[in-house]
Amino acid sequence: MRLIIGGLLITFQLFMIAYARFSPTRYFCWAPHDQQSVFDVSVTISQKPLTNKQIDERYRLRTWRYWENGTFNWVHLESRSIENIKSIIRQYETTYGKNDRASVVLNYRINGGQEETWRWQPQ
Amino acid sequence: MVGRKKPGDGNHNNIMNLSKYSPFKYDGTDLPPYLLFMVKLLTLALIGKGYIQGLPQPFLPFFPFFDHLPGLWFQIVLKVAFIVAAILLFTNQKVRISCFVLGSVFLIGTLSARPYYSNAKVFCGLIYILTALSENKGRPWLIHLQLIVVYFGSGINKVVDVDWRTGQYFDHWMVHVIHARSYEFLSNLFSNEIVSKALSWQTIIIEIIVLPVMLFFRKWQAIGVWVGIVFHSVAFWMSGLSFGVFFPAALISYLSFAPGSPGVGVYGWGNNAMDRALKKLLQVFDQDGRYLFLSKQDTVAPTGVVINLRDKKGWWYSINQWRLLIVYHPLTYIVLTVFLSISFLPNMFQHVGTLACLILFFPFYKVTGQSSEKKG
Repeated sequence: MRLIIGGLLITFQLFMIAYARFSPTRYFCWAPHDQQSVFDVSVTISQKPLTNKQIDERYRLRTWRYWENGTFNWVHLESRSIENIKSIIRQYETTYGKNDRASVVLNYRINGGQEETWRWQPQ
Repeated sequence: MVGRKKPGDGNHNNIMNLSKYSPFKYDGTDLPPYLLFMVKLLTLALIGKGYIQGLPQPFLPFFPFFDHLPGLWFQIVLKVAFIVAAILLFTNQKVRISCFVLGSVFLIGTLSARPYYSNAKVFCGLIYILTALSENKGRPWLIHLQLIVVYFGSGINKVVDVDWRTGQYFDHWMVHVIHARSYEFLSNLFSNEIVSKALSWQTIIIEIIVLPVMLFFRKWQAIGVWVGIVFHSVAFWMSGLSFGVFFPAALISYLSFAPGSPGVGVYGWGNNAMDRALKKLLQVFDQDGRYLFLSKQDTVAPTGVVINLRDKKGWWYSINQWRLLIVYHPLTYIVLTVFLSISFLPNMFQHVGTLACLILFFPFYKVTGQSSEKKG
Protein backbone atom coordinates (compact mmCIF):
# COMPACT_ATOMS: atom_id res chain seq x y z
CA MET A 1 0.00 0.00 0.00
CA ARG A 2 2.80 2.38 0.96
CA LEU A 3 4.59 1.70 -2.31
CA ILE A 4 1.40 2.29 -4.29
CA ILE A 5 0.83 5.70 -2.69
CA GLY A 6 4.50 6.62 -3.15
CA GLY A 7 4.40 5.37 -6.73
CA LEU A 8 1.35 7.53 -7.42
CA LEU A 9 3.18 10.61 -6.11
CA ILE A 10 6.12 9.90 -8.42
CA THR A 11 3.80 9.19 -11.36
CA PHE A 12 1.95 12.47 -10.75
CA GLN A 13 5.23 14.35 -11.09
CA LEU A 14 6.10 12.55 -14.32
CA PHE A 15 2.64 13.45 -15.61
CA MET A 16 3.21 17.11 -14.68
CA ILE A 17 6.59 17.13 -16.46
CA ALA A 18 4.82 15.87 -19.59
CA TYR A 19 1.86 18.25 -19.05
CA ALA A 20 4.26 21.21 -18.87
CA ARG A 21 5.01 20.62 -22.56
CA PHE A 22 1.41 21.62 -23.34
CA SER A 23 0.85 24.28 -20.67
CA PRO A 24 2.66 27.60 -20.22
CA THR A 25 2.53 27.50 -16.40
CA ARG A 26 5.21 25.57 -14.52
CA TYR A 27 3.88 24.12 -11.26
CA PHE A 28 4.88 20.73 -9.76
CA CYS A 29 7.03 19.89 -12.80
CA TRP A 30 10.53 20.70 -11.53
CA ALA A 31 11.21 23.84 -13.50
CA PRO A 32 13.25 25.91 -11.06
CA HIS A 33 15.21 28.81 -12.52
CA ASP A 34 14.22 27.95 -16.07
CA GLN A 35 13.42 31.54 -16.94
CA GLN A 36 14.38 34.87 -15.45
CA SER A 37 11.77 37.47 -16.26
CA VAL A 38 12.03 41.09 -15.25
CA PHE A 39 8.55 42.50 -15.14
CA ASP A 40 6.55 45.54 -14.28
CA VAL A 41 2.87 45.56 -13.35
CA SER A 42 0.52 48.53 -13.54
CA VAL A 43 -3.00 48.31 -12.20
CA THR A 44 -5.79 50.78 -12.76
CA ILE A 45 -9.04 50.71 -10.81
CA SER A 46 -11.77 53.15 -11.80
CA GLN A 47 -9.19 55.03 -13.88
CA LYS A 48 -6.98 55.48 -10.79
CA PRO A 49 -3.56 53.83 -10.94
CA LEU A 50 -2.37 51.87 -7.90
CA THR A 51 1.00 52.69 -6.36
CA ASN A 52 3.87 50.18 -6.57
CA LYS A 53 3.40 49.33 -2.90
CA GLN A 54 -0.32 48.66 -3.41
CA ILE A 55 0.47 46.44 -6.39
CA ASP A 56 3.10 44.46 -4.45
CA GLU A 57 0.63 43.91 -1.61
CA ARG A 58 -2.19 43.01 -4.00
CA TYR A 59 -0.30 40.15 -5.67
CA ARG A 60 2.37 39.61 -2.97
CA LEU A 61 5.19 40.47 -5.31
CA ARG A 62 8.77 40.97 -4.22
CA THR A 63 11.64 42.93 -5.72
CA TRP A 64 15.17 41.77 -6.40
CA ARG A 65 18.49 43.38 -7.12
CA TYR A 66 19.22 43.56 -10.85
CA TRP A 67 22.40 44.72 -12.57
CA GLU A 68 21.81 46.92 -15.61
CA ASN A 69 23.72 49.74 -17.25
CA GLY A 70 26.49 49.58 -14.68
CA THR A 71 24.28 49.87 -11.63
CA PHE A 72 21.96 47.83 -9.42
CA ASN A 73 18.22 48.49 -9.58
CA TRP A 74 15.38 46.89 -7.65
CA VAL A 75 12.98 45.16 -10.01
CA HIS A 76 10.29 42.49 -9.99
CA LEU A 77 11.87 39.22 -11.00
CA GLU A 78 10.27 35.83 -11.61
CA SER A 79 12.69 32.92 -11.65
CA ARG A 80 10.14 30.44 -12.99
CA SER A 81 7.81 30.87 -15.94
CA ILE A 82 6.33 34.37 -16.34
CA GLU A 83 3.06 32.52 -16.88
CA ASN A 84 3.06 31.84 -13.14
CA ILE A 85 2.78 35.61 -12.54
CA LYS A 86 0.00 35.84 -15.11
CA SER A 87 -1.83 33.01 -13.34
CA ILE A 88 -1.56 34.86 -10.01
CA ILE A 89 -2.94 38.09 -11.53
CA ARG A 90 -5.68 36.22 -13.38
CA GLN A 91 -6.75 34.32 -10.28
CA TYR A 92 -6.72 37.44 -8.10
CA GLU A 93 -8.79 39.47 -10.56
CA THR A 94 -11.39 36.75 -10.96
CA THR A 95 -11.73 36.07 -7.22
CA TYR A 96 -10.65 38.50 -4.47
CA GLY A 97 -10.48 41.51 -6.78
CA LYS A 98 -13.44 40.70 -8.99
CA ASN A 99 -15.50 43.70 -7.86
CA ASP A 100 -12.58 46.11 -8.41
CA ARG A 101 -12.87 45.60 -12.16
CA ALA A 102 -9.16 46.35 -12.44
CA SER A 103 -7.24 46.77 -15.67
CA VAL A 104 -3.79 45.24 -15.47
CA VAL A 105 -0.83 45.66 -17.78
CA LEU A 106 2.16 43.37 -17.38
CA ASN A 107 5.33 44.33 -19.22
CA TYR A 108 8.09 41.77 -19.11
CA ARG A 109 11.35 40.63 -20.65
CA ILE A 110 12.23 36.94 -20.55
CA ASN A 111 15.95 36.25 -20.09
CA GLY A 112 16.84 39.78 -21.16
CA GLY A 113 14.99 39.46 -24.48
CA GLN A 114 12.45 41.73 -26.18
CA GLU A 115 9.84 43.45 -24.04
CA GLU A 116 6.42 41.86 -24.24
CA THR A 117 3.08 43.01 -22.92
CA TRP A 118 0.17 41.09 -21.46
CA ARG A 119 -3.11 42.77 -20.51
CA TRP A 120 -5.94 41.84 -18.23
CA GLN A 121 -9.25 43.59 -18.76
CA PRO A 122 -12.25 43.27 -16.46
CA GLN A 123 -14.58 40.52 -17.70
CA MET B 1 27.77 -4.97 14.72
CA VAL B 2 30.78 -3.30 16.23
CA GLY B 3 30.60 -0.97 19.16
CA ARG B 4 27.02 -1.69 20.18
CA LYS B 5 27.08 -1.21 23.93
CA LYS B 6 25.43 -3.90 25.98
CA PRO B 7 23.07 -2.89 28.78
CA GLY B 8 24.88 -3.01 32.07
CA ASP B 9 23.69 -2.41 35.61
CA GLY B 10 20.39 -0.81 36.67
CA ASN B 11 21.73 2.71 36.65
CA HIS B 12 22.98 2.20 33.13
CA ASN B 13 19.52 0.93 32.15
CA ASN B 14 17.94 4.17 33.38
CA ILE B 15 20.33 6.14 31.25
CA MET B 16 19.52 3.88 28.30
CA ASN B 17 15.80 4.49 28.88
CA LEU B 18 16.32 8.22 28.80
CA SER B 19 18.63 8.04 25.81
CA LYS B 20 15.85 6.62 23.66
CA TYR B 21 14.50 10.18 23.52
CA SER B 22 17.85 11.60 22.48
CA PRO B 23 17.92 13.55 19.20
CA PHE B 24 21.27 11.86 18.61
CA LYS B 25 19.79 8.37 18.65
CA TYR B 26 18.61 6.74 15.44
CA ASP B 27 18.20 3.04 16.24
CA GLY B 28 15.09 1.34 17.53
CA THR B 29 12.35 3.27 15.72
CA ASP B 30 9.97 2.39 12.95
CA LEU B 31 12.32 3.93 10.37
CA PRO B 32 15.72 2.66 9.22
CA PRO B 33 18.35 4.62 11.21
CA TYR B 34 19.91 6.35 8.20
CA LEU B 35 16.52 7.61 6.97
CA LEU B 36 15.63 8.87 10.44
CA PHE B 37 18.98 10.65 10.53
CA MET B 38 18.25 12.14 7.10
CA VAL B 39 14.85 13.57 8.07
CA LYS B 40 16.19 14.92 11.37
CA LEU B 41 18.87 16.81 9.45
CA LEU B 42 16.28 18.02 6.94
CA THR B 43 14.16 19.36 9.80
CA LEU B 44 17.20 21.09 11.26
CA ALA B 45 17.90 22.68 7.88
CA LEU B 46 14.31 23.89 7.51
CA ILE B 47 14.34 25.38 10.99
CA GLY B 48 17.74 26.96 10.31
CA LYS B 49 16.45 28.55 7.12
CA GLY B 50 13.42 29.99 8.93
CA TYR B 51 10.80 27.99 7.09
CA ILE B 52 8.50 27.76 10.13
CA GLN B 53 8.04 31.52 10.19
CA GLY B 54 7.29 31.49 6.46
CA LEU B 55 4.35 29.07 6.58
CA PRO B 56 1.44 30.77 4.79
CA GLN B 57 -2.18 31.72 5.22
CA PRO B 58 -4.37 30.76 2.26
CA PHE B 59 -3.91 33.25 -0.58
CA LEU B 60 -4.80 32.48 -4.19
CA PRO B 61 -4.85 28.75 -3.50
CA PHE B 62 -4.62 25.99 -6.08
CA PHE B 63 -7.94 24.66 -4.72
CA PRO B 64 -10.68 27.21 -3.88
CA PHE B 65 -11.84 25.48 -0.69
CA PHE B 66 -8.73 26.79 1.13
CA ASP B 67 -10.26 30.26 0.83
CA HIS B 68 -13.09 29.16 3.12
CA LEU B 69 -10.71 28.33 5.97
CA PRO B 70 -9.88 30.95 8.62
CA GLY B 71 -6.50 32.20 7.44
CA LEU B 72 -4.79 32.94 10.74
CA TRP B 73 -5.95 29.67 12.33
CA PHE B 74 -4.86 27.75 9.27
CA GLN B 75 -1.39 29.24 9.58
CA ILE B 76 -1.25 28.57 13.33
CA VAL B 77 -2.29 24.94 12.77
CA LEU B 78 0.48 24.51 10.18
CA LYS B 79 3.08 25.98 12.54
CA VAL B 80 1.94 23.97 15.55
CA ALA B 81 1.81 20.79 13.45
CA PHE B 82 5.37 21.45 12.28
CA ILE B 83 6.66 22.09 15.80
CA VAL B 84 4.90 19.09 17.39
CA ALA B 85 5.97 16.74 14.59
CA ALA B 86 9.54 18.04 14.74
CA ILE B 87 9.69 17.46 18.51
CA LEU B 88 8.31 13.93 18.09
CA LEU B 89 10.80 13.25 15.32
CA PHE B 90 13.78 14.54 17.30
CA THR B 91 12.72 12.47 20.32
CA ASN B 92 12.20 9.33 18.20
CA GLN B 93 8.46 9.05 18.84
CA LYS B 94 5.95 8.15 16.10
CA VAL B 95 8.58 8.89 13.51
CA ARG B 96 6.63 7.82 10.44
CA ILE B 97 3.57 9.84 11.42
CA SER B 98 5.84 12.80 12.20
CA CYS B 99 7.39 12.59 8.74
CA PHE B 100 3.96 12.40 7.19
CA VAL B 101 2.81 15.49 9.12
CA LEU B 102 5.97 17.47 8.31
CA GLY B 103 5.62 16.65 4.62
CA SER B 104 1.92 17.48 4.65
CA VAL B 105 2.62 20.87 6.26
CA PHE B 106 4.74 21.92 3.28
CA LEU B 107 2.56 20.37 0.59
CA ILE B 108 -0.70 21.73 2.06
CA GLY B 109 0.97 25.11 2.62
CA THR B 110 1.99 25.14 -1.04
CA LEU B 111 -1.47 24.13 -2.27
CA SER B 112 -3.07 26.84 -0.14
CA ALA B 113 -1.06 29.77 -1.53
CA ARG B 114 0.14 30.08 -5.10
CA PRO B 115 2.75 32.80 -4.36
CA TYR B 116 4.17 30.51 -1.63
CA TYR B 117 5.00 27.86 -4.23
CA SER B 118 8.65 26.93 -4.52
CA ASN B 119 10.39 23.82 -5.75
CA ALA B 120 12.47 23.62 -2.57
CA LYS B 121 9.35 23.38 -0.36
CA VAL B 122 7.71 20.80 -2.61
CA PHE B 123 10.95 18.81 -2.64
CA CYS B 124 11.19 18.79 1.17
CA GLY B 125 7.50 17.91 1.52
CA LEU B 126 7.90 14.96 -0.82
CA ILE B 127 11.09 13.70 0.84
CA TYR B 128 9.24 13.62 4.18
CA ILE B 129 6.18 11.88 2.76
CA LEU B 130 8.22 9.33 0.80
CA THR B 131 10.34 8.63 3.87
CA ALA B 132 7.15 7.96 5.82
CA LEU B 133 6.08 5.58 3.05
CA SER B 134 9.42 3.82 2.62
CA GLU B 135 9.93 0.17 3.50
CA ASN B 136 12.03 -0.86 6.45
CA LYS B 137 14.16 -3.27 4.47
CA GLY B 138 16.00 -2.85 1.21
CA ARG B 139 16.72 0.17 -0.85
CA PRO B 140 14.55 3.29 -0.28
CA TRP B 141 13.40 3.25 -3.89
CA LEU B 142 10.78 5.95 -3.49
CA ILE B 143 13.32 8.52 -2.28
CA HIS B 144 15.83 7.51 -4.95
CA LEU B 145 13.20 7.75 -7.68
CA GLN B 146 12.17 11.13 -6.31
CA LEU B 147 15.72 12.45 -6.70
CA ILE B 148 15.95 11.00 -10.20
CA VAL B 149 12.62 12.61 -11.19
CA VAL B 150 13.73 15.99 -9.79
CA TYR B 151 16.94 16.03 -11.84
CA PHE B 152 15.39 14.52 -14.94
CA GLY B 153 12.41 16.89 -14.85
CA SER B 154 14.68 19.91 -14.39
CA GLY B 155 16.83 18.80 -17.30
CA ILE B 156 13.86 18.20 -19.60
CA ASN B 157 12.41 21.62 -18.81
CA LYS B 158 15.75 23.19 -19.71
CA VAL B 159 16.51 21.31 -22.90
CA VAL B 160 13.17 22.25 -24.49
CA ASP B 161 13.84 25.94 -23.81
CA VAL B 162 15.66 27.69 -26.65
CA ASP B 163 17.26 30.23 -24.26
CA TRP B 164 18.85 27.36 -22.34
CA ARG B 165 20.12 25.68 -25.49
CA THR B 166 21.70 28.88 -26.83
CA GLY B 167 23.13 29.97 -23.48
CA GLN B 168 21.00 33.15 -23.43
CA TYR B 169 19.45 32.18 -20.09
CA PHE B 170 22.78 31.60 -18.41
CA ASP B 171 24.37 34.77 -19.75
CA HIS B 172 21.45 36.93 -18.63
CA TRP B 173 21.23 35.21 -15.24
CA MET B 174 24.93 35.45 -14.50
CA VAL B 175 25.43 39.03 -15.74
CA HIS B 176 22.22 40.76 -14.65
CA VAL B 177 20.61 38.70 -11.90
CA ILE B 178 23.64 37.29 -10.12
CA HIS B 179 26.30 39.68 -11.41
CA ALA B 180 28.84 36.92 -10.85
CA ARG B 181 32.51 37.88 -10.91
CA SER B 182 33.52 34.29 -11.68
CA TYR B 183 31.39 34.37 -14.83
CA GLU B 184 32.89 37.71 -15.89
CA PHE B 185 36.35 36.23 -15.38
CA LEU B 186 35.56 33.17 -17.51
CA SER B 187 33.87 35.31 -20.17
CA ASN B 188 36.98 37.47 -20.43
CA LEU B 189 39.11 34.36 -20.91
CA PHE B 190 36.92 32.86 -23.62
CA SER B 191 33.71 34.60 -24.68
CA ASN B 192 30.22 35.04 -23.27
CA GLU B 193 28.76 32.75 -25.89
CA ILE B 194 31.18 29.88 -25.31
CA VAL B 195 31.03 30.05 -21.51
CA SER B 196 27.24 30.42 -21.31
CA LYS B 197 26.65 27.59 -23.80
CA ALA B 198 29.13 25.32 -22.01
CA LEU B 199 27.55 25.98 -18.60
CA SER B 200 24.03 25.52 -19.97
CA TRP B 201 24.81 22.22 -21.64
CA GLN B 202 26.80 20.82 -18.75
CA THR B 203 23.76 21.55 -16.54
CA ILE B 204 21.38 19.91 -19.01
CA ILE B 205 23.56 16.82 -19.49
CA ILE B 206 24.17 16.36 -15.77
CA GLU B 207 20.45 16.72 -14.99
CA ILE B 208 19.03 14.58 -17.78
CA ILE B 209 21.60 11.81 -18.04
CA VAL B 210 24.50 11.78 -15.60
CA LEU B 211 22.74 12.10 -12.24
CA PRO B 212 19.62 10.01 -13.04
CA VAL B 213 21.75 7.14 -14.41
CA MET B 214 24.37 7.24 -11.67
CA LEU B 215 21.85 7.51 -8.85
CA PHE B 216 19.81 4.65 -10.31
CA PHE B 217 22.57 2.04 -10.56
CA ARG B 218 24.03 0.97 -7.25
CA LYS B 219 27.59 0.61 -8.51
CA TRP B 220 27.64 4.24 -9.68
CA GLN B 221 25.91 5.76 -6.67
CA ALA B 222 28.99 6.85 -4.72
CA ILE B 223 30.31 8.68 -7.77
CA GLY B 224 26.81 9.97 -8.55
CA VAL B 225 26.47 11.44 -5.09
CA TRP B 226 29.81 13.19 -5.44
CA VAL B 227 28.90 14.50 -8.91
CA GLY B 228 25.71 15.82 -7.33
CA ILE B 229 27.68 17.54 -4.60
CA VAL B 230 30.01 19.09 -7.20
CA PHE B 231 27.05 20.16 -9.34
CA HIS B 232 25.24 21.91 -6.49
CA SER B 233 28.47 23.33 -5.07
CA VAL B 234 29.48 24.93 -8.37
CA ALA B 235 25.98 26.40 -8.70
CA PHE B 236 26.31 27.79 -5.18
CA TRP B 237 29.80 29.16 -5.69
CA MET B 238 28.95 30.82 -8.99
CA SER B 239 25.59 32.25 -7.96
CA GLY B 240 26.02 32.71 -4.21
CA LEU B 241 22.49 31.26 -3.91
CA SER B 242 21.44 28.19 -1.96
CA PHE B 243 18.00 28.35 -3.65
CA GLY B 244 16.21 28.51 -0.31
CA VAL B 245 16.66 25.24 1.47
CA PHE B 246 17.15 23.28 -1.76
CA PHE B 247 20.95 23.12 -1.73
CA PRO B 248 21.28 21.68 1.81
CA ALA B 249 18.12 19.58 1.37
CA ALA B 250 19.44 17.94 -1.81
CA LEU B 251 22.74 17.07 -0.12
CA ILE B 252 20.93 15.76 2.97
CA SER B 253 18.69 13.57 0.79
CA TYR B 254 21.86 11.88 -0.55
CA LEU B 255 22.08 10.19 2.85
CA SER B 256 19.41 7.84 1.51
CA PHE B 257 22.23 6.30 -0.55
CA ALA B 258 24.22 5.43 2.59
CA PRO B 259 22.43 2.50 4.18
CA GLY B 260 23.96 -0.01 6.53
CA SER B 261 24.86 2.26 9.42
CA PRO B 262 27.83 0.03 10.21
CA GLY B 263 29.56 -0.15 13.52
CA VAL B 264 32.93 1.51 13.59
CA GLY B 265 35.93 0.19 15.51
CA VAL B 266 38.63 2.77 16.12
CA TYR B 267 41.98 1.15 16.94
CA GLY B 268 44.83 2.97 18.58
CA TRP B 269 42.84 5.71 20.31
CA GLY B 270 45.09 7.53 22.73
CA ASN B 271 44.48 8.07 26.42
CA ASN B 272 45.66 11.61 27.09
CA ALA B 273 43.29 14.37 28.23
CA MET B 274 42.67 15.61 24.68
CA ASP B 275 41.87 12.11 23.38
CA ARG B 276 39.50 11.45 26.27
CA ALA B 277 37.67 14.77 25.74
CA LEU B 278 37.31 14.16 22.01
CA LYS B 279 36.09 10.62 22.64
CA LYS B 280 33.49 11.92 25.08
CA LEU B 281 32.30 14.52 22.58
CA LEU B 282 31.99 11.92 19.82
CA GLN B 283 30.07 9.60 22.13
CA VAL B 284 27.54 12.35 23.02
CA PHE B 285 26.54 12.52 19.36
CA ASP B 286 26.62 8.73 18.98
CA GLN B 287 23.88 7.56 21.32
CA ASP B 288 23.53 4.30 19.39
CA GLY B 289 27.06 3.42 20.45
CA ARG B 290 28.25 2.67 16.94
CA TYR B 291 31.74 3.90 17.66
CA LEU B 292 33.90 1.54 19.70
CA PHE B 293 37.16 3.12 20.80
CA LEU B 294 39.92 0.58 21.30
CA SER B 295 43.28 1.22 22.83
CA LYS B 296 46.59 0.18 21.31
CA GLN B 297 46.62 -2.98 23.39
CA ASP B 298 43.11 -4.20 22.49
CA THR B 299 43.00 -7.32 20.40
CA VAL B 300 39.25 -7.50 19.80
CA ALA B 301 38.52 -8.10 16.13
CA PRO B 302 35.34 -6.17 15.38
CA THR B 303 33.30 -6.47 12.21
CA GLY B 304 32.12 -3.42 10.30
CA VAL B 305 34.38 -0.49 9.51
CA VAL B 306 37.84 -0.65 11.05
CA ILE B 307 39.73 2.58 11.53
CA ASN B 308 43.35 2.02 12.36
CA LEU B 309 45.11 4.92 13.98
CA ARG B 310 47.96 2.89 15.45
CA ASP B 311 49.71 1.66 12.31
CA LYS B 312 52.18 4.08 10.84
CA LYS B 313 51.87 3.46 7.11
CA GLY B 314 52.57 7.01 6.00
CA TRP B 315 50.78 10.34 6.18
CA TRP B 316 48.28 9.53 3.39
CA TYR B 317 47.16 6.39 5.18
CA SER B 318 46.74 8.30 8.46
CA ILE B 319 44.78 11.11 6.81
CA ASN B 320 42.44 8.57 5.28
CA GLN B 321 41.86 6.84 8.60
CA TRP B 322 40.86 10.20 10.11
CA ARG B 323 38.70 10.91 7.04
CA LEU B 324 36.84 7.65 7.62
CA LEU B 325 36.37 8.52 11.27
CA ILE B 326 34.83 11.86 10.24
CA VAL B 327 32.75 10.48 7.35
CA TYR B 328 31.04 7.82 9.47
CA HIS B 329 30.31 9.98 12.49
CA PRO B 330 26.87 11.65 12.80
CA LEU B 331 28.41 14.82 14.27
CA THR B 332 29.98 15.57 10.89
CA TYR B 333 26.59 15.73 9.20
CA ILE B 334 25.07 17.81 11.96
CA VAL B 335 27.91 20.34 11.69
CA LEU B 336 27.65 20.40 7.88
CA THR B 337 23.89 20.94 8.05
CA VAL B 338 24.38 23.81 10.51
CA PHE B 339 27.03 25.36 8.27
CA LEU B 340 24.87 25.09 5.14
CA SER B 341 21.52 26.02 6.65
CA ILE B 342 21.67 28.42 9.54
CA SER B 343 20.64 31.72 8.02
CA PHE B 344 22.37 34.05 10.45
CA LEU B 345 25.82 32.48 10.01
CA PRO B 346 28.18 34.37 7.71
CA ASN B 347 28.37 33.13 4.11
CA MET B 348 31.86 31.81 4.80
CA PHE B 349 30.35 28.88 6.73
CA GLN B 350 28.44 27.76 3.65
CA HIS B 351 31.63 27.89 1.60
CA VAL B 352 33.54 25.88 4.21
CA GLY B 353 30.70 23.34 4.48
CA THR B 354 30.53 22.93 0.72
CA LEU B 355 34.29 22.46 0.42
CA ALA B 356 34.24 19.93 3.27
CA CYS B 357 31.54 17.90 1.47
CA LEU B 358 33.61 17.83 -1.71
CA ILE B 359 36.73 16.64 0.10
CA LEU B 360 35.12 14.17 2.50
CA PHE B 361 32.91 12.39 -0.01
CA PHE B 362 35.38 12.22 -2.90
CA PRO B 363 34.86 8.61 -4.03
CA PHE B 364 38.32 7.77 -5.35
CA TYR B 365 40.47 7.77 -2.24
CA LYS B 366 43.02 5.00 -2.32
CA VAL B 367 44.47 3.94 0.99
CA THR B 368 47.93 2.47 0.75
CA GLY B 369 48.20 -0.83 2.55
CA GLN B 370 45.10 -2.67 3.60
CA SER B 371 41.87 -0.88 2.80
CA SER B 372 39.77 -0.63 5.89
CA GLU B 373 36.58 0.74 4.38
CA LYS B 374 33.79 -1.74 4.19
CA LYS B 375 31.96 -1.80 0.88
CA GLY B 376 28.19 -1.71 0.68
